[in-house]
Amino acid sequence: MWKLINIELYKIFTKPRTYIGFGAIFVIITAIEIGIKIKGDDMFAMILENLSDKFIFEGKLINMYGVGYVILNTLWIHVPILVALVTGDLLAGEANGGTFRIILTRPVSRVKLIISKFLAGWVYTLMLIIFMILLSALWGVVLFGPGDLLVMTTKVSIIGSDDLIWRFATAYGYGFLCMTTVATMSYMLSAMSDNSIGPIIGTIALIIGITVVSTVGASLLEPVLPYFFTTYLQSWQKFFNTEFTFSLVAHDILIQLIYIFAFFFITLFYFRKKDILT
Amino acid sequence: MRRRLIIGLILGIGFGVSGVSGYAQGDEANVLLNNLAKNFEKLEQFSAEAVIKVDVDFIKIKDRVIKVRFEKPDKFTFDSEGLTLLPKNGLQLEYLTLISKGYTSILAGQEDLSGIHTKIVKVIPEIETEDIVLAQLWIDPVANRIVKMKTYTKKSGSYLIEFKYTDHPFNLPDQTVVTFDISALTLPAKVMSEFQPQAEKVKEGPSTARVIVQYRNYKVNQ
Repeated sequence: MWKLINIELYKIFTKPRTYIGFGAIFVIITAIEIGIKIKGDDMFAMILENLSDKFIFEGKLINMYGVGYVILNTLWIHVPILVALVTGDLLAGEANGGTFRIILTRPVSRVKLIISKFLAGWVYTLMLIIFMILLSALWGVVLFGPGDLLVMTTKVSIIGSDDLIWRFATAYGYGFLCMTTVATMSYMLSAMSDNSIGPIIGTIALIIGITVVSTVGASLLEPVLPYFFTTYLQSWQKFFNTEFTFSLVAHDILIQLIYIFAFFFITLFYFRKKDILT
Repeated sequence: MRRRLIIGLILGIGFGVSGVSGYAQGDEANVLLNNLAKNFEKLEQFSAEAVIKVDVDFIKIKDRVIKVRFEKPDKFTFDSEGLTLLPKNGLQLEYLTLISKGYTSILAGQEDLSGIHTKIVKVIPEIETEDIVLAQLWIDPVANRIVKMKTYTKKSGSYLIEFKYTDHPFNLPDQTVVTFDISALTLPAKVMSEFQPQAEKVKEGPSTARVIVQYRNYKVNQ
């Protein structure tokens, strides 16, 4: 099994498209960090304009944690696309290249193949997130240094720098769980397709579509919204709640896990019965 | 003719008395403010640690310790290790700035505050560029210090500042409580998270903010 995973990882990391994700993350994070370094004061002044009428903000408002928080917000829009770019190709790519017949004539069960390909895709997703964390932290340290985090939602929270590492770690952990859901969904679509364009575009279209429809037609879809995994993609923000308890995110984590297992078992079931025609 | 003379005399006396009384009130107010200013004449600079407690329903922040520095005549600097929220008015001994520049003052009565007999003085700054347009001071005439102050500003509404003292030199406050109105404050909800400036009114909770500042470790003229 371990050998199978290694082979799949080798396949993933020898494809140029794998590095599009890392390249895109590098460009986006670098642009955000440098942009905030140059124009951050104006940005924060605009955000805090209202509060500034009554309060003076004393201390380092723009710091590595603040910028890290902004990056967390923006990158969950792009990361699903970058994840789907690879995981959507895992099975459909083989079908498209006509290599399934050769692989499946080897003494490897379809179940093992599905599991190993999935785990390899999962490792890629994990590496993408780790790269994002490291790059964000590195730029943050070099350009800004530490400080307290100001979180503005319907409330204003100021979280001390000594209370932030675990929040970022768990927020990224939750983000990774969400990206696993995305990866599993595109993997499932990949199993159902003989061309990798379909699963990649399908995953992105589904996520964007559901999110847009949920936002625009929130009142119409209210009864079903709690059942969409996209509803909980932004739940990482709950880790920055000053009164955080696990119960705040338990339901959200459960929904993501249910989707991961559902997508995975549909893939498994479908692929075991699939006629390999290419 | 005689009747007119009597009416004229009564009116004359009336205006005269009220004029003298008004002048006396203004004069007493000036004396109170001058005594207050004398307190600080020998105060060149001071530094202190201040523990800031922000009591606002929608703001979650732990108590912060900052360093406050004052240099004559009215320069204040704040040094904070972390991020701190300070009220825009109330922490910079604004009355010093007020009385060090031109002003008009009126004695507006007296009131007992927590067992302290105070005289109420209204101060109108003469310089139009000042943010404060009117200040009402509750002055303890025995100890020559301000017990309470209400300022009306052009930009940020009114602030009520209450002072508590122990025995610091130059009558520097031991605790300052700043209360101000935030009912008109709107929060750009989730701006940080989504870059969608959906201004959302703060509906819950009280419409006033309270910032309690506890001073300690005063170092004066050192």
